Amino acid sequence: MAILSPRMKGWLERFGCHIGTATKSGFPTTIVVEQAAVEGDSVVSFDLTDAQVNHIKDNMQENPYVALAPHAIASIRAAYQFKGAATLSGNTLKVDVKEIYCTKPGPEAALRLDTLPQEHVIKFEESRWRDVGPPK
Amino acid sequence: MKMNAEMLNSLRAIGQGGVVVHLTTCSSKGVPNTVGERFFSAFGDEHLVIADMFAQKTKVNLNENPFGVITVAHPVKGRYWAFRGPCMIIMWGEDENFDFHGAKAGDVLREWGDWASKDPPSEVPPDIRPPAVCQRGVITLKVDEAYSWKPDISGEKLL
Amino acid sequence: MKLTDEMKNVLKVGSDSSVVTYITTSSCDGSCNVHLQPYTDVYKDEFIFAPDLFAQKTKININENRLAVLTIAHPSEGKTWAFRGPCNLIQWGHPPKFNFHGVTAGDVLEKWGDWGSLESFDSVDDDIKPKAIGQRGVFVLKVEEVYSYKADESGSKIL
Repeated sequence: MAILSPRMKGWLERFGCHIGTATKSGFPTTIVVEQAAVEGDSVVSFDLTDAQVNHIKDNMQENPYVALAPHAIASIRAAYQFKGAATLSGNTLKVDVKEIYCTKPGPEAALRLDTLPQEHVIKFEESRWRDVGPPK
Repeated sequence: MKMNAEMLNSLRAIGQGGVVVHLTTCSSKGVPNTVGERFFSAFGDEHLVIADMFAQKTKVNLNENPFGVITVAHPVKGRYWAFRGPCMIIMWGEDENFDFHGAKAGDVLREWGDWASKDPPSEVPPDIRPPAVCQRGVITLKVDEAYSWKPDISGEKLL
Repeated sequence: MKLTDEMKNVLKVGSDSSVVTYITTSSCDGSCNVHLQPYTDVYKDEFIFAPDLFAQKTKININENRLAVLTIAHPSEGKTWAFRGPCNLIQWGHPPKFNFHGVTAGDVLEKWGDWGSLESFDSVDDDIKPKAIGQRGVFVLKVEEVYSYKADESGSKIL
């Protein structure tokens, strides 16, 4: 199970995500949800509109593994990507994050973070960004 | 672990009288990736370095599972060697004081960060020579173990 | 499919209203990757170009499944657009006549192969700016479909 850091949680909740989905044969559809709630250490929950549900429900049935990238200014300041298994229930999409990557351009691009101990992740964040708390 | 003089003498690019090697990495789920490498050298007597020019799955694997094996591929000439240990890519942009098991990022990049200028692949036939290279870093492996891949004694320790 | 003037203005290099985008790709068995792309340009009204600076899984996905969606990440007010279509990576080393949906590698690399000559990479804060850049090629997305990702009309066709 991946553990989201406080910095990750703050940016995810405030700005939501671009949610990459695909058919099992790899035809991609991206939707954007502008806020999220984090439940526990690893679950990100999104409230979808009916249009969004209709847009991705076939993909979710066929292939519920999705990718999340923070939206808006978080796309610049919170350079992470999260991947995990999604469950669509009514209008709620819950993603149980299994993989976390740093996507900061440079040598750390694509570094996998969920395989590191949590204290290393916190130190990594402190060394890479000036802001380590929630977004201001 | 220090490599011996015979190894150090052979572990350099094939154009310099050395060898072509294979680098094997694997994903955190254990899916391996093995690729041939021509831009290769020993660095000091405990590290091996490879230019990161075209790495794709190698890079993805090292980002989630920083471990590798380098095996001599050609010409073998009795050198049935495999070197295993922690492995990462020291990328341009890394802090120059960053220390990877005794190898300083600045030292590695200064010596091997622009491989094509230092050691152009002039011995490679035009049909298989890369037409353009863009190096982003240096794949660096700290030798923790050396074993033989010779079929009848495969796995036997060399050092 | 031709983009509107408003879309072209936003996505063109050096635009006053420039945006940060995401490129979503998928492996051939449906594993998605969303990749940040701050730099874009428009070619012949229907292609979106972007430099390959640090792509890894995007490149692996494109190598096995040449499709992508580009979405506007920031600022997105009034620009809730998603562009979908065939996508490829034209790399240094492609033959100049290599053709992808009417775009030739020579034309792409000559003008966009050194993106830093078109626009500065220095416009971002120090703590999020890459310390070193090495471009390996240009992503080419041929827009065949534009849909809205606006929450209440997600998926509705714009073009």
